[in-house]
Amino acid sequence: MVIQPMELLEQILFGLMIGGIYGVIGVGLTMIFGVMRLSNFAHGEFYMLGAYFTYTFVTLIGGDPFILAPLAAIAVGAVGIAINKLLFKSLYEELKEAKGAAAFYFQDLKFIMLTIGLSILFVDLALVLWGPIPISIPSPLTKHIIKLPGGLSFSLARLIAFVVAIATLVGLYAFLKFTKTGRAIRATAQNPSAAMLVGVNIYRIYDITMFLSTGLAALAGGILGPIYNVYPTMGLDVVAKAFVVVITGGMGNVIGSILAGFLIGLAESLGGLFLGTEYKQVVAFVIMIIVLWVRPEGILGGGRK
Amino acid sequence: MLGITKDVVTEISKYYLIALILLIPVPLAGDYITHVTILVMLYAVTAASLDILVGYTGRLSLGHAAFFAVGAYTSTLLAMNWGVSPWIGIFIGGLMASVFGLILGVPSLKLRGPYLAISSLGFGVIVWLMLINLDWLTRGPLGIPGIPPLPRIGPIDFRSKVAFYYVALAFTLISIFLLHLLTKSRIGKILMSIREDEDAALSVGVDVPLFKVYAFLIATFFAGISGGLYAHYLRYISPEISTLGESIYILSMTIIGGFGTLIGPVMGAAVLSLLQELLRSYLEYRYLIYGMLIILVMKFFPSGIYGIVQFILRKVRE
Repeated sequence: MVIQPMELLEQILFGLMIGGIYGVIGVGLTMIFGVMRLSNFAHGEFYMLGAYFTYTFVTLIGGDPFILAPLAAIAVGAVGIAINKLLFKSLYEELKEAKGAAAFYFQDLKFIMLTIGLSILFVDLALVLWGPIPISIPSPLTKHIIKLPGGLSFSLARLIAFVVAIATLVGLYAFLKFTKTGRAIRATAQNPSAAMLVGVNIYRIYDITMFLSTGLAALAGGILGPIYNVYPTMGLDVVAKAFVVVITGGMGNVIGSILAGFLIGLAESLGGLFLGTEYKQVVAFVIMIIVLWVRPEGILGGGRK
Repeated sequence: MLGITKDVVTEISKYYLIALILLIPVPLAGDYITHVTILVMLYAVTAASLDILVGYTGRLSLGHAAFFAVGAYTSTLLAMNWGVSPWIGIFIGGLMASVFGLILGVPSLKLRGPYLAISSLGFGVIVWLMLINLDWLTRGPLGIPGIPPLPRIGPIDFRSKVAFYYVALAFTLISIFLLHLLTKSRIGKILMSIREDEDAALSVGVDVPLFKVYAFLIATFFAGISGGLYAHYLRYISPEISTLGESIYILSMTIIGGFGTLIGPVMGAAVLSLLQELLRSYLEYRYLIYGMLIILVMKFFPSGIYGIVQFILRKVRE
C-alpha cells in the first residue's frame, strides 16, 4: 500500500481535530475522578445530551449551533449539578467515613453502578424524547469548504470545532491555574480534608467540578453535532474512548488528558490509514494497554493505581 | 487442603436439594417459561462466576461477556469446523475462556479499582472487535446460524426445550454448588482477604498475584461454559453477545442481586431477566425503568436483592 504524503497530512489534521475534542471530553472525566474519585460511566451521555440540547435550541430559537452549543453546555451542566446533589452527595459523606481498602472498593462499585444506571436511563430518555433516527444539526458552516494548496480541504465547521476545543482547553487551564475557585478545586483534588480545614466548602467545589465536567462533555457534543450524526447511543460510543484518554493521561491529570486526547486522536487517524478503518477502534485500546503495562500512572503521572 | 469439612458440604447441599426439587417441575409450565428459565440459569452461572471476581476478590470486571462469548464461539467453531462433540467442545470453550482470562488477568495484576474496570472494559471491546472483524473465522457481524445441538444420548434429543432444560439445570446447580464450596474453602477466604485489604494480605504471606489469577481462571471458566451451552441451545450466536452492554447487563445482575453472596447474583439474574420479559410490552420505556431500578437499588439498598430478602426475612421472624 502506497500512502500519498497529502493523504498523510490530511489524516494528521483530522487526527488533531478529533484529538482536541477527545481532550475536551477527557478533561471533564479526569477532573471528576481527580476531585471526587468518581468514575463517571454516564459521561458519554452528557456529551449526547449536549448534542440534543443544541439541536433543540437550534430548532426552537434558531441560530447557529456553534453559538448555541455553549448555552446547551450550561443547561447540561445544571443537570449535572442536580444529579450531583440528588445522587452523589450522600455518597461523598459516606466516603469520608470510609476506612480500609474494602470500603473504598464498595464505594467505587456503588458510584460505577449508579452512573451505569444513569447512562441506561439517559439513553432511553433520549430515545423517548428525540426518537431513534440519527439527526444532524443544521449549520451553514458545514457547507463552507476551506481549500488548502495541494488538494487538502475541510469544512469551516471542523475548523471552528477545533478552535472552540482549543480555546476551551486553554480557558479551563487558566481557570484552574489562576482563579481562586480553580485553586480550591486543585486543593480539594489533592486533599479534601486539608482543603476543608483551610475553609474550602468542598461540596460546593464538587458541584462546580460536576458542572464543568458535564458542561465540557456537552460542549463537545454540541460542536460535533453539526459534523457528525446525533443519536441516542452516541455517548456509549465515546465513553470507552474517553476513559482510554483519561487513563493514558493519568487519572486526575488535566494536562495529561489533553495531551492524551491529541495522542489518541492522531494515533487513531493514522491507524485507520495504515491498518484499515476496521482496526481504527482497536488502536486506542492498544495504546491504553501499553500505557497501563509500562507506566500505569499515565504518560504524565499523577494517576493513582 | 482446601479446608472444606464434611459439615459444610452437608449444610449447603440441602439448599441445592431444595432448589432441585423446586426446579424439576418447571417444564410443566410450558415452552415459554422453560425457555426463559434456561436463559435465567445460564445467566445466573455467569453472574455468579463474575461474583467470584467482583464480590469475593474485589476485582471489578466490565468485560465478562467477552469470556461468555469466547466459550460460545470456541465450542461452536470446534463443532462446525472439526466435528468436535459439543459435550467436549463446551468444556474446551470453558478452558479457552480461562486462557483469555489469563490474557486479561496477568497484565492487570497490579491494577486496582477503576483502572481494572476500564482495562477489562477495553479488553471486552477488543474481543468484540475481533469477533466482528475476523470474518473468515467468525462470519463477522452476521453471526453463526445452524449450530449443531447437543448430541443425543440414547433416545433423548436435546433439540427439545425440556431435555435441554434438565442439562442446564444440572449444570447450573453443580456450577453454583462448586462455586459455593469454593467460597467456603481456604481459597475463598484468601480471596476475601485480598478484597478486604490487599496490602495486609500480602504482608501476612498471601501470594496475592497467584490468587488473583486463580480468581480470574475460575470466573472465566464458568462464564465460558455457560456461553458454550448458550450457543448449542439457541444454535445461533453473533458478536452481540460480547458487547459492553452485555457485560454491563451481567455486572448489574451481580451487583443488583447482591455481590459477595453468590446467591445474590442468581437472584439478580432471575429478577432482571424477568423484568426484561415483563417490560417487553413497554418497549420504549423499558430501559428507563431498568436504569431507574439500578439507581434506586444502589441508592437505597446497596446490599442488593439478597439484602432486601434478608431484611424481609428478619422482619418476618420478629
